[in-house]
Amino acid sequence: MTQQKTDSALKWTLNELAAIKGERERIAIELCRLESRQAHLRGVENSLMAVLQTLTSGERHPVEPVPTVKAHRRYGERGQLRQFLRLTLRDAYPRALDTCSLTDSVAQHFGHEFATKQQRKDFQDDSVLNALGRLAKAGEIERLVHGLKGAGRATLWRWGTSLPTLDELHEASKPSVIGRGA
Amino acid sequence: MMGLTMTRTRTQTTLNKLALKVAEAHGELAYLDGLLSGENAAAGQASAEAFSEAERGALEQRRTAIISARNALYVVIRQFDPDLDPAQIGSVASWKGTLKRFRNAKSLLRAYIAQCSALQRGSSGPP
Repeated sequence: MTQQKTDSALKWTLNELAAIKGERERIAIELCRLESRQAHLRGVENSLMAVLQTLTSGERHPVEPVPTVKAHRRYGERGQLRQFLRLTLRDAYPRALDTCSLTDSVAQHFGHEFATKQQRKDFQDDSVLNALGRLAKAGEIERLVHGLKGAGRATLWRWGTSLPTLDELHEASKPSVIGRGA
Repeated sequence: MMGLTMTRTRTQTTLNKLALKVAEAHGELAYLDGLLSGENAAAGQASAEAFSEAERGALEQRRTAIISARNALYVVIRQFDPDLDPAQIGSVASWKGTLKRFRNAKSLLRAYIAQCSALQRGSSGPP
């Protein structure tokens, strides 16, 4: 039986075409979502303007015109992001989780969506890593570095325990020197 | 000058104030609906037909404005906390403001109509 072999250039071109169409479709879906979000936010903005009028009885308010602010994302009550990370790592123990999968979990849990990779990266760096760093500083979780230097290196996070480290055990096993009496 | 921040602190005081505005809108709307439907016999009117065309126009315009303000407040309260249902907020009488000095229902009604008419004239003033 002779094996049919497609010309490699043809194969690549077809594949690439399909991939580009796939990416355009993803962009079209994301644009739809963003347009819908934009329309919703326009409505909220109009309502906030109307309420501002009510609160100031039509007088000038302290900040006019109102500038734009790149505000922090909301997580409900104060400390919710850290609490979610705490519970996630505690449930995963003794497994350690990497920053990327923690970011995905946070985004899914709080319903955050990102229009670009850069937005996701900013969220990971500004919010998730910040919260993980605070938990590590407080001793609630451990920061582990896995792999060698370079692209393969990953930061892992694990639920902290009160178990001693290998170095601490080694120190504790050394015989203590008792001073002799005079 | 007031500074704007990236944090979106929500306080109970703010929620109280917004909820009060909703309750005032509910209160005034209940009063207006009573007037326009003629059910509010305590207001000293015989029936809804007791209003002149101009008075009715002013009251209906006021009703539209109150509903618009109420809906904006609903959106803002849900923005504050999506778990809250602003429609469940009751009503208060403090919507009367300076009109509360009119203890008599009939005099309150006259003063209220005068206020609504003044608002209508103010909103349809020269561009």
